[in-house]
Amino acid sequence: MNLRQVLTNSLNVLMMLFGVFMSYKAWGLYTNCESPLVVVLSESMEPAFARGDILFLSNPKKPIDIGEICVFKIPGRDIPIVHRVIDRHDSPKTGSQLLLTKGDNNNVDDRGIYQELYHNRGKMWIEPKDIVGRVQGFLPYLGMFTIFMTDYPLLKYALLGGVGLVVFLYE
Amino acid sequence: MNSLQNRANAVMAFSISAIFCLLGAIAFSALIIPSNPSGAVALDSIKVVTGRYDKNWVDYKTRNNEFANTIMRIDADLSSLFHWNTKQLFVYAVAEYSTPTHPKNQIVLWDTIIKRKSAAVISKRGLNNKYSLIDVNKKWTDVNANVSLHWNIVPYVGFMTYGHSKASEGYAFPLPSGIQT
Repeated sequence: MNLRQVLTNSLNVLMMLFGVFMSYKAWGLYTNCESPLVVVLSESMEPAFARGDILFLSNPKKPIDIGEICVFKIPGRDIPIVHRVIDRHDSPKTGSQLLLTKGDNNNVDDRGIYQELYHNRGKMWIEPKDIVGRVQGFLPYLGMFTIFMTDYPLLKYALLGGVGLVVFLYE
Repeated sequence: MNSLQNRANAVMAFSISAIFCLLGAIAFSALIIPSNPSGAVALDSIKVVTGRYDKNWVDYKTRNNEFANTIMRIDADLSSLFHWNTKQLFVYAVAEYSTPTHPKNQIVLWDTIIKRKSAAVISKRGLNNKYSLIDVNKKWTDVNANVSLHWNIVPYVGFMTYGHSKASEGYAFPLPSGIQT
């Protein structure tokens, strides 16, 4: 193991990582969406989406149509929610839309989720500005990788350890 | 060249590329399959009641919300939408109308999930709307709504596609007839 080899290996690994990161962000620019790839975390959209499925999002400027599956965030909560739009009211006064969502596997609509935080009490609708993206495509099972990483942090360290080994020992 | 590591690497790289090509072929081929789905929704009766509470209404502050209770009939033949990439069909009946304050409104009256081709012919009578039918302004006066059947094909892998039937003629919502709750 000599210094030049280690530095060359680190450079290659970093180029690969940054290349992937750049492509991801470029794709985000193309789709007008901060995070064009999300992993499904809950079972509220079964049987369409199961935990571990990957969703491809985009966020075109056109108005949201009823029945579209949208990923949105409630102000004050970090976790994005993937549910279907079941009510739509276009409001030219504000230039925006009032939307109601519901998970296919839930019996009730999402107003309970909208009003969960005290400063959101009485919130009956979400608007396109709360929406992070709309689902355009779907890839099953491959997101279980990220779910394993979050559920078992040991795997994360093992992966980092593996990358370290490659950097220092590869010839 | 022939060490175990190199062989494992080559096999993994090739199989992963082949799998992704296959998934891409499935996803893109599903876009060009011809289909002729048909569907129609009709409202047999509309009753408007005023009240504070309804099926899944959560805002109890107003006493005089106007809720519409409808009885629908739905006929559809969506079996041609089932192909090798169809995981399920999400079918929903939509009422569309416009009011002076909001030019375009769409509300889902009823929905169902169809998982097999044999269940894709729908012929239902006497259906009540599954969800509370209430406008943003909480009044149904002077509203003329048409109903149509929409569907969403959820694929095994690939693109989500949507479709809908022709809209029915408009139904005029009657004045509220009595207090419900």
